Amino acid sequence: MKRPLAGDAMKLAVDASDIGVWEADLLTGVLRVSERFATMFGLPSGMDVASGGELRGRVHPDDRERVKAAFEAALDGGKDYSVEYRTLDHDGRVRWFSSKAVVVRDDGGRPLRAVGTAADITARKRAEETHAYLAALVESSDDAIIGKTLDAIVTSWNKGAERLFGYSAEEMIGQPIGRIVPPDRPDDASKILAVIGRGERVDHYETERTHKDGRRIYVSLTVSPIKDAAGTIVGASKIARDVTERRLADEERERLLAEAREARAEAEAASRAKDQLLSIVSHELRTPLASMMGWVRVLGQGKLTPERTARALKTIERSGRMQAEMIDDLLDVSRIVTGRLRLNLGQVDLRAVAQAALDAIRPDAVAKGVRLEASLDAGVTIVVGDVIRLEQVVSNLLNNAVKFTPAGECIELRLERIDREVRIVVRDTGRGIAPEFLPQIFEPFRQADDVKLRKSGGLGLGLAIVRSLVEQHRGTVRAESGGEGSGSTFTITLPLSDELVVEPADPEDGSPADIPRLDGVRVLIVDDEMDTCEALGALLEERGATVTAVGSVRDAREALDKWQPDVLMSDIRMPGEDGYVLVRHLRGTSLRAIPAVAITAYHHEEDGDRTAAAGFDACVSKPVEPDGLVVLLASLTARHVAS
Amino acid sequence: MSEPKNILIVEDDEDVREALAAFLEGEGYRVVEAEDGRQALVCLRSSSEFCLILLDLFMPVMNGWAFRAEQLRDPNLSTIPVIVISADAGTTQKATALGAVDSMMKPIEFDRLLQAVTSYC
Repeated sequence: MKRPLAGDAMKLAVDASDIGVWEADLLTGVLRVSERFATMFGLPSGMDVASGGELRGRVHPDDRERVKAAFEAALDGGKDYSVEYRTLDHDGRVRWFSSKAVVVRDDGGRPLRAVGTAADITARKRAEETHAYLAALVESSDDAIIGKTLDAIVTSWNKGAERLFGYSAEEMIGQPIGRIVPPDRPDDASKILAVIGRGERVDHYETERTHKDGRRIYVSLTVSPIKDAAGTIVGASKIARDVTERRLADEERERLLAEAREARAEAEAASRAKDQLLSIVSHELRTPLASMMGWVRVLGQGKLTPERTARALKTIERSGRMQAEMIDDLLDVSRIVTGRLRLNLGQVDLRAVAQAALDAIRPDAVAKGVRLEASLDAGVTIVVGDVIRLEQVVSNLLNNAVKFTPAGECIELRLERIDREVRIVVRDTGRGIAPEFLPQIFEPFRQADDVKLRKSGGLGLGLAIVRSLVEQHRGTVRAESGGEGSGSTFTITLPLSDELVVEPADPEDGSPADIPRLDGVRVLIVDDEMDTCEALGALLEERGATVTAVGSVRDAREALDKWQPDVLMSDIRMPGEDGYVLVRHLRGTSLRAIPAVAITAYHHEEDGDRTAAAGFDACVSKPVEPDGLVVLLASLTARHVAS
Repeated sequence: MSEPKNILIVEDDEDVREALAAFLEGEGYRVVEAEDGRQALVCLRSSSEFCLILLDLFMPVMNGWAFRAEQLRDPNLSTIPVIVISADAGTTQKATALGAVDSMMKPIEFDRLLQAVTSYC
C-alpha cells in the first residue's frame, strides 16, 4: 500500500532538486515560494511570501500575456497550467522557464489555491536553438548532406540531397544508401564505410552516383564518422557536392587536348610523308637528269665513236622521256587526289587500245629480251571510256611487266569477253609479288623494295594511276601472284558499252584535214618570252591568222588602243603586270567581249579555275599543242562572231 | 713511271654509270664499272690497284652502306678513298657518316668531279 511522503521528506526532496516550488492562495493572493524558486527568480533571500505582481514583473514583456492567458485558462477550464516563458532580469539577461501548476478547488468547483513548479530550461532552449540553427544550415545547403548508419542505412537526407539525387527524404530515410550507387561501383559505399569505421575521414573523394531518373552524376564526397556520447562510431555524415559540370568540362578539355594531340600527330605524319615523298621525287627526277647531263658532257668531249655518239643521244632522249613520264604521273596523281581528273568519254574499242599499248611497249621489250604474246580476238570489246586514259592503263601494266620480267621470259596480253564485261589480262612470268605486299600494291608511292635496295626505280605511281582510272571507268582491277618468283597477273574488268554505235570520242580530235583555218582572224599575243611569241605567231599565221605579238602588258594596252583583235592570247606570269591584270583591263573596256586565252607555263589544274575566274575564256599550257590551239581559237572566234 | 691506277664506279643505273665511265675515259683515266656493292668487292679483290671509288648509295644486292662496311673490314681495301655520288637530298650527311672523302649530288658537276679525281689519282 502506497503511503504519501512525510512533509519533511517532501521538503528535502524539493530543496535537493533544481525545481522551484510555489503555492498561491487564490482567495488572499498570497504567494509562497521555495528557497530555490526565490533564487531562480531573484527574489530576496529568505522571503517566502511574495506578491504575484512582483513575480509577473519578472516575466519577459513579450511573454506576459501568454502566461496570464494560460493561468486564467487553468483557473476557468480546470485545465492544468503548463507554460514555457522567458524572464528578463535586471541586467537584461533572458532565461527560459518551464512552469506547471495544479489548481485546487472547493466542492463547488471554485478555485482555492494553485500549486506549481518552475524549472530553468535556458540550457535546453539554447541547445534547441542551436540545433534548429544547425538544421536550417543543413537544410539550406546547396550540398547534399546525408547521415547514415554503419550499415549504410540513410538516417538523414537534406534538401540538397533531394535536389542532387532526386529522391525525397521520405523515400530515402531508412533505405540503404546503395540506391544511389551505380551498379558498376558496388564497392564504393562499403569502402567508404570501412574508412569511417576506422574513425578516419574521407575528403573530396570523386565518384559517380545515380540520380533517381537514372542520370549519372559526378560527386565529390566528404565523409566523417558520427560518434555517440560515449565516442563510439555509430554512423557517417556525408557531404556530396555536384561536380558533374566540372567533370564534364574536365572531360571536354581532355577530349579537346587528345584531339589536338591527334591532329598534331596526323599533321606530323603528313609532314613526314610529304618530306619522304619529296625526297623520293627528287631522287627519281635527279637520276635521269644525271644521265642526260653526263652524256651531254661526254658528247662535249668529242671523243666518242659515231656509234657511241648515236647511243649517247638515244640515252639522253630516253632519260628525258622517262623524266617527262614521271612528271606526267605526278600530275595525274595530283589530279586524282584532288578529284580533278576528267575523262573525255566516247565509244572505245579495247582491241585498238590494247594494240596501241602493245606497239608502244614493243621496243622496250625487245631491248630487254622479253617476249610479248597477245590474244586480242574476243569479239566485240567496245566500252565507254577515255581512249587516251585506257591506253595509259594498259601501257602502265605492260611497262611494269617489262620492268619486272627478266630476259628470256614472257609477257601475255589477253582480251576476254564474259557476258557484258570485257577483261584485259596482263600476265608475266617475272619476279612476282610477295603476298604481304599484294594488298598495298595499288597505293601510291609504294614499291616492294626497301628504299636502300631500290632495284626498280621510278616513283611507284603507275598502279595507283591504273586503279583510279579503271575505277573512274566503273571497272575493277585485280592483282594476283603465286608469290615471289612465280609471276603476276593483273586483270582489269570493264563494263561493255550498251550502245554499239561507234562515234568519234571527240569531234575535234580528228585528222589534220579536220584542223580548221583561221583565215582573217586577228590574234594579239602577249608574252615576255619572244621565243613563244614567234613560235605561236608562225603557227597561227600558217593557218591564215593575222598576228600581232607584244612582250608586255603595257605594250598590249597600247596595241589595243589602236587596233581591235578577234582574240587575245596572253601569258599569265610576266614581270611587272601579269596576264590577270591585262584581262581585267580588257573586260573593263569597250573590247570586253573579245575572247581571251591564258597561256600558262605550269601544268596546274587550278590554273583553269583561276584564269576563268579572272575573265579568261580558255587556258592552254606550254608547250602548246598546235592543232588543239587552232581548233580552240577557231571555236572561240566563231562563237564571238556569231554572238 | 708507275702503272696508271683504276677508278672504280659502283652505280646500278646503267645510263649514269656509262656516262661517268665515258667521261672519265675521255679525260684519260682507266675505269672499271660495277653494278652493285658485291660486284665492286669482286673487282677490288681481283684486279690491280685502285686509286678511287665512286660509290652510289641506293643499289640492289649490296647497297653503298653494306659495301662500305665490307671495304673497311678488309685491310687491303680500307684505305682506298671513296667519293659518294647519289641523287639523295641528304648525300653530304650520309657521305660524312660513311667516312667518304667527298660527296657529289646527282646530276654531278663534272668540273668538280674532275678536280677531285685529279687530286686522288
